[in-house]
Amino acid sequence: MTDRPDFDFDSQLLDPQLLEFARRFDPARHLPDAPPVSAEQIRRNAERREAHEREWRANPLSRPLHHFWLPAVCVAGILVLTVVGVAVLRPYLGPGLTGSPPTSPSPSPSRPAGPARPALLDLPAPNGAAKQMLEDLADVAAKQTPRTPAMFIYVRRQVWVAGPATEPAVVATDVQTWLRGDLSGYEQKTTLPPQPAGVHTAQWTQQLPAENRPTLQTHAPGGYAHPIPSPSLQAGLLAAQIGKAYGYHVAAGVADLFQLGLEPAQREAALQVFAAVTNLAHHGRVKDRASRTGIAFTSTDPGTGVREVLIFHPDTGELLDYEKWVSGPDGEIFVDAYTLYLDIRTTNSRP
Amino acid sequence: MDEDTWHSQVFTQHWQIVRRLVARRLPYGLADLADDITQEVFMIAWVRRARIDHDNPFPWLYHTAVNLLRNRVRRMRTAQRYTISAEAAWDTVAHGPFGKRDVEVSVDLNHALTALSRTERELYLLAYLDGKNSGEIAQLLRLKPAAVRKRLERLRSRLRARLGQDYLDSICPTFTETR
Repeated sequence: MTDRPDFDFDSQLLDPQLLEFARRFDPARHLPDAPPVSAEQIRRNAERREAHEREWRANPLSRPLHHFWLPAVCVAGILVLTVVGVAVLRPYLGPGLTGSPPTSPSPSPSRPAGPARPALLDLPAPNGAAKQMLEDLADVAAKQTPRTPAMFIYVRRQVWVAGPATEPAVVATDVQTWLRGDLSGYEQKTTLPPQPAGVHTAQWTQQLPAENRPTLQTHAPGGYAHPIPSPSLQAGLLAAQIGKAYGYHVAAGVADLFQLGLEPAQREAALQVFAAVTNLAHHGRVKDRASRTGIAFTSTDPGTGVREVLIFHPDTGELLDYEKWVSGPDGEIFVDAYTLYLDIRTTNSRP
Repeated sequence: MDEDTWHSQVFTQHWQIVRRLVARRLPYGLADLADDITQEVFMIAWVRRARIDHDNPFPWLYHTAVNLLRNRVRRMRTAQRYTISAEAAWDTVAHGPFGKRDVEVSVDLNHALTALSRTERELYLLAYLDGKNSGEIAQLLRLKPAAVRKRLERLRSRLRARLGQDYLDSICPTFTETR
């Protein structure tokens, strides 16, 4: 049943048998002829729908709630992505959006951010002229008797540097060196057991724990790496050596010199160089982390707020404790590193 | 002629044509949609009457009907509400106006038509069922009449090869006798 049963044109193009086949099985052959609705009804329905759509377009809020699912899902998706993105990128975006990588994610919200640190030493308020005090101390150091000649200069330190924020306690290292004059010798390092954070006294300063195996390193002549392998006895030259190796970090350079086990004349020069540092403060006698009494001096960098603390033995001018303190964003001061010089002497025994 | 009269005239002349056109293109099991889609076509025709060629409205009706039909079928397939398959065809046997043999042949024909391109299938429907001539088909499919004739020849040979002479003879024996 076609709409036009008699083909009046190129009917030779159509296959008669296929045409018969198609007509016989036309899916529309049983459809009723009469339309179920009238044209007038169609027009009425169309106008009603058109009016409804016009009203809908004019007032989008009149739409049923289920029409808002797509915008709602989009907005919710954007919000979720923003929150997730901020959470993921937050550690990378420090103050000023520097983009520097995080040292470590915060382990738990209950702990304050940052590594476990020892407490600050209790330093009295600055008093007196620091420069004069250091020069006096240099004079005291110069009057000391030189050490007994021996095969090695033995130096024992306890070193702690702020590590990853996830460390639950203060983990320091015991470093012992046996150095000859040609900077050959031995270096033994032992990781100390975790010490409780928030206390100012360093533990494990005497007996090393047996459970931690030390690592021993042998240095060939000249092998012990030190920025100033042969410090000058003259303060001016030593200041130049320190300036070349450490730049503006004179206090750190002075402190590192004591790794070499300075003789009295070298100590005198080192103290004189330190006395020439600006922004020095003298804090009088204090107890260091090994509970030894010394004279504390601080040097504060006015630009960065980094404060370096050096505690010297009052009778010998030996360095007892060197510390680096830093300021947090809110002005709070933290210990960033400390080095306790526990023993400096000459010896003929080796590890 | 006012617009109401024009629309009534178009409705009277083309309702049946459009409804059959839609019914022939609907998959099995969806024949009930023919009236809905046809009604939608004439509602849109009324709303957009200013844009329709009043002297020759059929091309517009045809394209609108085919587009509506495709959209509707696509939505249903997406929603998986209907299964367009031979099983649906057998449901039509049980509940529809056609006999088992009708459905069998329709399935075979549908199978043969799936080997053709969409344009060739449309060509088959327009030429063999809707009864359009090559000029009308050319206008509807936006082809040249010569191209339509060429494609009709190709369609004829391809469909015959697909169905097979024996099969065609078994379906239309009376025609074979009179051929």
